[in-house]
Amino acid sequence: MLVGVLGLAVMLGWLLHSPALVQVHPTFSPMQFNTALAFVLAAIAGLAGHYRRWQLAAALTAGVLLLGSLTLIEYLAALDLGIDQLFVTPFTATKTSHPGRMAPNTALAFVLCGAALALRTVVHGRDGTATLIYPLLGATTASLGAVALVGYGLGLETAYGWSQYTRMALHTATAFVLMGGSLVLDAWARDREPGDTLLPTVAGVAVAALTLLLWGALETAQERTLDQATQLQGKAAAESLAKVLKGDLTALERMHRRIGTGESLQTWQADAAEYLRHMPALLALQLHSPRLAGAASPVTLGKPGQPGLPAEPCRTSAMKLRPLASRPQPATLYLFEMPLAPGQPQHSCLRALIDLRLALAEIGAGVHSLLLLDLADTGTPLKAGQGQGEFTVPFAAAGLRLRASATSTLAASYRSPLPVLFLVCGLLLAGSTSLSLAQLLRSRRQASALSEVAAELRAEIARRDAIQQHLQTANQRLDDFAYIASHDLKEPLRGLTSLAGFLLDDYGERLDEEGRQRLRALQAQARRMNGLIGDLLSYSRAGASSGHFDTVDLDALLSEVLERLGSGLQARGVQLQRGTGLGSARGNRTQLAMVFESLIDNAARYSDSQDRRVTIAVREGPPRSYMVTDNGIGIPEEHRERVFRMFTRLHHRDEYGSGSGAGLSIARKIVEAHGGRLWIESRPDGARGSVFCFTLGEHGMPPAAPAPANETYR
Amino acid sequence: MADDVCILLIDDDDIDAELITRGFRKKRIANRILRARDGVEGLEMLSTPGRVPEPYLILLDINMPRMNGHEFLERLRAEPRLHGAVVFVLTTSDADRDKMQAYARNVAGYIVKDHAGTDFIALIELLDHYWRIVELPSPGPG
Repeated sequence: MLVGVLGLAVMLGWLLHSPALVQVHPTFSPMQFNTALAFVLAAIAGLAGHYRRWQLAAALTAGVLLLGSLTLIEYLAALDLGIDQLFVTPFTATKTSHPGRMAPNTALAFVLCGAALALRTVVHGRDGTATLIYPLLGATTASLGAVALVGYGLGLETAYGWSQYTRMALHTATAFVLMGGSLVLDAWARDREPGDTLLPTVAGVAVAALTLLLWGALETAQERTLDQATQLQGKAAAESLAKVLKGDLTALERMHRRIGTGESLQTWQADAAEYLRHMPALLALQLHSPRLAGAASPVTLGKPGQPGLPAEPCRTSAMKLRPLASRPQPATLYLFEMPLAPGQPQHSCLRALIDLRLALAEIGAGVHSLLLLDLADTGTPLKAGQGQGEFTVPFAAAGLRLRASATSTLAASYRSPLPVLFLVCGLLLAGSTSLSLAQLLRSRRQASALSEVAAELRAEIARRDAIQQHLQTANQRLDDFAYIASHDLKEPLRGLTSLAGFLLDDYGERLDEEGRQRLRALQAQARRMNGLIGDLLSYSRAGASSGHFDTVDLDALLSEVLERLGSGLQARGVQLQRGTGLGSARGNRTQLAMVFESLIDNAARYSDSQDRRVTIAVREGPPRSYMVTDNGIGIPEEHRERVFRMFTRLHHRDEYGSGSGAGLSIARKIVEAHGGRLWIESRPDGARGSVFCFTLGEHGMPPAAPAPANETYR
Repeated sequence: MADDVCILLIDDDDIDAELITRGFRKKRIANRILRARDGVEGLEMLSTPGRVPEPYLILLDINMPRMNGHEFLERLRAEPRLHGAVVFVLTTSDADRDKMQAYARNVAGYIVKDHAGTDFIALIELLDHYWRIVELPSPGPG
């Protein structure tokens, strides 16, 4: 926001030609119009991003990037693309290398913050490395501005001005600090783990700022050495110039003396021609002497094309060296007036016109390859760090100011690519430091999160293992208990039966018929109990026995079962319909046979009709289920779960051929041990009877191998 | 020859022992029946020369105090003089585990008491046929 207002104000300043808005202080460099425009674009882009107008933000960001990068290209390729003065013609060019062009560091900062804005537009909300980079770019932008601000604060010009190019304006620097700062803050605001960007950004900015400061210092040091070299060379040049001028003046004084001793005009003319030939700085000689030249006086000899010499006689009585004209400054043409010896008329004199520029040219090609020498113009101050120096050469009354500037040859010999290399490496280092730090932090957080998850998983697995272990042990104990209890119960029961038999054998004669009947009843009861215990044993063993799992061909298995049951079924007059295509399943063959056996037996048993039908079929799944359908008495809905309870019967023992009520319980236990279910449905055609359905390995995977039974059977 | 075969019954259950004795008596089978109450006693009897006359066959229960049927079989098969003995297991257990373990030690048969017929009649008939038809190793010289 603030940045936008600032940019607008400066644009207004340019349009209104108000130096206060544009420059802040007359000696400071101005914020260029393009800079101000870019700030306005960037500010609106930032706001658009904030209000989720991503397309607008992208377009404006493109504008910022374009302005920054085009200007950078202009600097790097020494081109003029015509964008500098595209909008306004600048009225001030203080500390400006190219009129209207923003500073190179400003352009760089715009490229950086434009990239940051673009990345922010691209990522909006997504996660990734880009969310790390754009606050970093913003931070770099801010640090460029901050370094310039520090430069203004400390009077360190290299901090805000690069080389001889345009300087970054004070308010431009401020605006960059605001802009970059707000980008960083924006990134922090949307960061879920604040530490993730804070530390890398701070580290990156610190390294970048340090790099910029060190680079500035290096540049300054380099410029200082260049200045020193210029001083040294310039001093030597000034000395040789002084020598040349002094030699010339001495020679002219000698000529003046010779005229005084009565030289003829011809001799002087020959002498003067010689002088002109050998003294490059001497443009013309003029002799005012009626005594020597008569009516021809004054006699002028000069190089072709020299400015005209004043024809009036001299008015001075002493030797005088003065500029030919008061303008232009600095004077390069000097007039040396020497009045002729006493006794001569007052107005007779010798005049020499000396061109100081030619004298400068005379002092050797060696100097000129290193220095650009010129007479000082008092109007333009010296630039520090640019290899400039001023020297006083004794000449005339006031002396000469000689200005020496290092040529590109001299500057090049003192300018090494080291600082720039250092700058590039430092900025790269800053970027990589901060990126790698961010990656490190992120990966550490991820690693710790991962290891937490892993630890939780391990704990969970251990817990489940323990539960499973516990469950297995419990099951094992239950089985052991049932097995042992059954055997321990069976033994005395067998004894009971046997003893009743002994009684009948040994004492049957002595008992009456009722007594014998009772003994037989006793035996029957004991046998029934024996049967029940046997069922209990089967039930405890079902599904948990040591039997192993195979792929079982169910069609073959069913054939076997039917063969075994064949006579019983025939006796009951059962009509059997058998579907094929049962396929195969993984399981324990013996136990699966028991399931079919008890379901078929059950279906055949519970019927009061003479027309008994049992159908065995398969219903494709998933899960695929096997169905045994009968037309028997059926089971009311509310009793359907009861029939699976151990020893539960819905009828009297003598009805429907005395079953023990264990078969279905055992069948269900076996099916469940195979990972399946066993349940009862009504017949789909609504007819009387039931449908027993079961599935195997319903969960699509082979049931867990039964736990190895432990070896503690007695 | 068949009458020579002596039966060593190793079972802790007195009633079952009596049932067998009665069964043999009822069938009028006169073979000699010796009884041990557990594996330890059975081994003692077998290792005392002349205590159990050859040829003999062993009816072995599994669940017994001190030394059960499996342990007895293991010791028996390790004993060079006894390892060829013919053993029928006669037990209340019809657990697969017990059957496998027994057959792994080369028993001649595994009979569950409940399935041996009323008053062991089926078992006794089986044994009667068995020693009539099956050749048992003759007593070694001396």
